[in-house]
Amino acid sequence: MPLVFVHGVNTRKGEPGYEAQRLLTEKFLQKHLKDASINGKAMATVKPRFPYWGDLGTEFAWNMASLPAGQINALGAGVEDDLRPLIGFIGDVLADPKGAQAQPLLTLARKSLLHAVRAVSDLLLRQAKPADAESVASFIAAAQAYAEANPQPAWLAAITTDQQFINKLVSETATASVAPGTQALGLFDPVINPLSAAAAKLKGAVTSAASTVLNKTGDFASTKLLAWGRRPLNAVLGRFFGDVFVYLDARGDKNAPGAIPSVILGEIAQAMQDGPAGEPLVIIGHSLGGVISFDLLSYFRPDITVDLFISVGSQVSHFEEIKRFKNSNASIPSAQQKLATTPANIRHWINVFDEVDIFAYACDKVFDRVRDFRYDTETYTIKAHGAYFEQGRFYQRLRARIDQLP
Amino acid sequence: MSLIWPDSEANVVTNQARLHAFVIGVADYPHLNGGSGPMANDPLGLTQVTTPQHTAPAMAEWLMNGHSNPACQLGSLEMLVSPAVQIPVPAGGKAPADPAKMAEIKRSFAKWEKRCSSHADNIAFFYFCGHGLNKTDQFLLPEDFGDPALPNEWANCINFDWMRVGMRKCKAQTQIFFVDACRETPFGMLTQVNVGGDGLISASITDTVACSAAYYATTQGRQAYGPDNDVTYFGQAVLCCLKGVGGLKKGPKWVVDTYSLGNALGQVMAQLARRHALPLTCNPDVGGMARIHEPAAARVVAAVECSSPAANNVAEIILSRGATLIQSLLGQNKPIIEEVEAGDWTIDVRFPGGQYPVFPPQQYTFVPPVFEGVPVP
Repeated sequence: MPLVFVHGVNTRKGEPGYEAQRLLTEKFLQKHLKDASINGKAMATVKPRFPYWGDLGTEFAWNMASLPAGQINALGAGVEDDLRPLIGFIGDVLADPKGAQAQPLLTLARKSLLHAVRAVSDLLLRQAKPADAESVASFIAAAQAYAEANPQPAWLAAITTDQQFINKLVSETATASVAPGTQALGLFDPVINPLSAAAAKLKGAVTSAASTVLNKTGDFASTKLLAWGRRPLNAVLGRFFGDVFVYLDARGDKNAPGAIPSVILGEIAQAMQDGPAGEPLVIIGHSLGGVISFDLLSYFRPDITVDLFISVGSQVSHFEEIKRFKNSNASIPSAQQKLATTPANIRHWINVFDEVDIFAYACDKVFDRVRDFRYDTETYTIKAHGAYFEQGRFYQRLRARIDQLP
Repeated sequence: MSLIWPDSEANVVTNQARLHAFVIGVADYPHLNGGSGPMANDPLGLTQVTTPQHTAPAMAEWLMNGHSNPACQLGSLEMLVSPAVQIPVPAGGKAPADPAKMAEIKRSFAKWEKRCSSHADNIAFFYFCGHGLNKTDQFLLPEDFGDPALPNEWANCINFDWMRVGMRKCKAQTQIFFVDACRETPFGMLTQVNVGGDGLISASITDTVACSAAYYATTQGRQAYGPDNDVTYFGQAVLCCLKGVGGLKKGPKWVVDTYSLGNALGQVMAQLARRHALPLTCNPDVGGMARIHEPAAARVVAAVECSSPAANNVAEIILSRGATLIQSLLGQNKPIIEEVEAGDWTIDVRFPGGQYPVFPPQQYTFVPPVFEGVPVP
């Protein structure tokens, strides 16, 4: 199946986790979309293409030195910025966060194995080196499937440490590391090391957080964390707006597409050429990737017929509301036409959003023919935007929606 | 029982030079993943393995039946294996080996070291096969490693580097160590602040040894491998080298000495890596020359293939020596990697499809440790 995945903002190849996230998305798409049928065409093969435009996105001349780093930050000294929301998430899930300091992962797992797996996945993806990408992606996919099938395995009651939890979880999910018939006199799975490192980092952060003002209030609620976590939120917003401005300024036009449209259109053309023929063309756009994809299909290449367009955690309707698309019609809405028109070359459009995701917008009050799909990532404000594609459940639900298409 | 040969301590020869061996194989780790006991506080990503259960007996079999060194015959074989196995002995019957728990290792080590110290010309021969870890020092893990009931998680653990240094106190002036174990550093080990282990023996600054050779199954930071339910690849390489591939011609005899063994091990492991497509390496660390074994004949690992993959795909390769024939016909795996006797061999490379010119069979002399390649086409 020609399937093109257009990434969103905050995606940079040089950053840890890029390749692992890409591989994880690929594995989930292959597992859950295989043999789906769209417009009467079966998806027998799922070989997604991932056009990369992150190197054309925004750069910060002072490396975001403009982000405030004053007293609020000092209150949370000892916990890395990007871990703060995760610590808050764990605090929210647990009834007694203080009691989780000694073995935070195990405590979380006993409350909810799936949440513990997600926390671990989040940490792994943040720091996965390219060399570890395959083992990390395989482990996350397998661990999520295991946690969904075994929400409270009996072995959880018999272990006492985070490290035992990690070893047991990897044993149970069993992603082979050596050639069949061969055994090593050492680690049985290479994911153990990055996983142990992630767990140690989490434990350190939970312990440090316990000594902050948050702990003294006895309240880990996410609302307080919004202040504590201002810096990472600011950073995400900064990169988001930066990439938006870069795209709008440099997208070019139909006769002379800019660099970002050229990269993505080139990959779409290649995907259509590679085929296989007779299978549906599907484009998935995450975040700004959805906006860009919509712009490309509605203005740059209306001649490309897409069987299914899936926008996830995206701002397509928001951009239409402020009339930023090349093909936006300022006279809509009007008495005669209440909704903007979904381009005819988009045969089906599914838009997915999590109400907690501050970058995600509903579309069915702005566009016709779009099917909105609410999806709860069960995460927190900042994390939600990137969580969809890390969760096997997301792809299961998406497949169910695809199967419901006329 | 840990003394496998001879049948009693009283029969151990101590007034003449002898090779005294201590072989440990650990394939049962109750406190690691998949184990039968309470799980270690941090199992460090280690699980159950089967290869040591086959490797240790194979080494014992060679020591008792294959070792030959007129100047230093086998004097004793001390052996611990987990899970317990019965070891066939030359006199017939079998001798049981005690489990390789830390307490038994300490007891057996003390007895072995005492035998080794009985004569300066003795050879102290140590072979460990089981899980290993490395954090500056090399650690070898007995059966009861990681027992969560102990406050010191490293109490049941051999610090091999300390042991090797400590063995300077032993009077045997030839000491040979084989570390058939991984040398990785799990992250969980890095988080431990006082990783120690037991060196089993201490030495002073005035203690020295003439020849101390350590042969590691892999380089630092990497894994050692083996086929399920069989001898480890390093164990296979050691036995292959001792049986003649590590031989050097010294006068009328073929001799495996500490340096020739190191070179041959490296060469053989490289060929095993090709054959099994695994990242196999080894790390000989030889300090001092000593004669280990005198094989009856020299042997060679022959690794024969054409000069290009394209030619390999359409070639038939036939090695012959007298009535011995080794061949890889069309569609069969290449290179041919086989252990063969040293000497003159004929190599015939044919291209049934006529893709390359006809080459007449060529004569080659195979010399230990490895014969590699043919220059066609």
